[in-house]
Amino acid sequence: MEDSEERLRQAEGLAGLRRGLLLVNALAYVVALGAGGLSRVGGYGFDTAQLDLARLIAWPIWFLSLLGILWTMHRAKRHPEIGALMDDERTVNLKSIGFQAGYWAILLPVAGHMTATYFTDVDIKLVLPFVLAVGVAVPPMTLRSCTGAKCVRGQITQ
Amino acid sequence: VSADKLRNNLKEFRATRNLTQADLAVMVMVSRKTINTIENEVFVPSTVLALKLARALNCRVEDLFHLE
Repeated sequence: MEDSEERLRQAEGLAGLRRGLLLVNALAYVVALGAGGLSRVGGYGFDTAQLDLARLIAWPIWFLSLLGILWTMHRAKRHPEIGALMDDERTVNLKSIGFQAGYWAILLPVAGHMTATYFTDVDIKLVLPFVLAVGVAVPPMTLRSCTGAKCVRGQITQ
Repeated sequence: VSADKLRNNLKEFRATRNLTQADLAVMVMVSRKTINTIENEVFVPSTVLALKLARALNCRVEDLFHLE
């Protein structure tokens, strides 16, 4: 059954690469949008030149990691015998949890911001980029953390 | 009212057939973690997957899964 091991090793390698790329992609997106938002409202103590530089670096990283994610998806689709070992009914369930988490990650800060405006002046130009970035980043982050080994109780035996 | 919990003998059946989690995962085309989470009763498989597991292990679904 060495063939099984080899095929699973390929699938787990590709899934691991995708998890890493999802993390990079999510973080780059938060940095890019967050730095943009901060820069637009004067920096809030951060140097605007550094914020612009962070944004300049984050966008290509986001784009390259996105290409990488698309490549892993393409590879999984072209090789269904490997793709089936990466994504199954369990991961479909986790994806739906991820998207629900992303929905709440957008909804709750927006509600928080609206409530805060009764007491203080919170600049929406600063809040919205972060809200959007976090809402978009949470699903891949949730997926990444939930498909990781720490989410699995017990030992994976050979 | 106590909720029924799905228990399984997957690990025992797999062991008696000298199959690893990797072997079984490839036989039913799911990830190794899915087999692991089913064995540890973290994940409840669909009917289709339960039937595939029973077919791969050459037994009945009722032999593999039961309510407690």
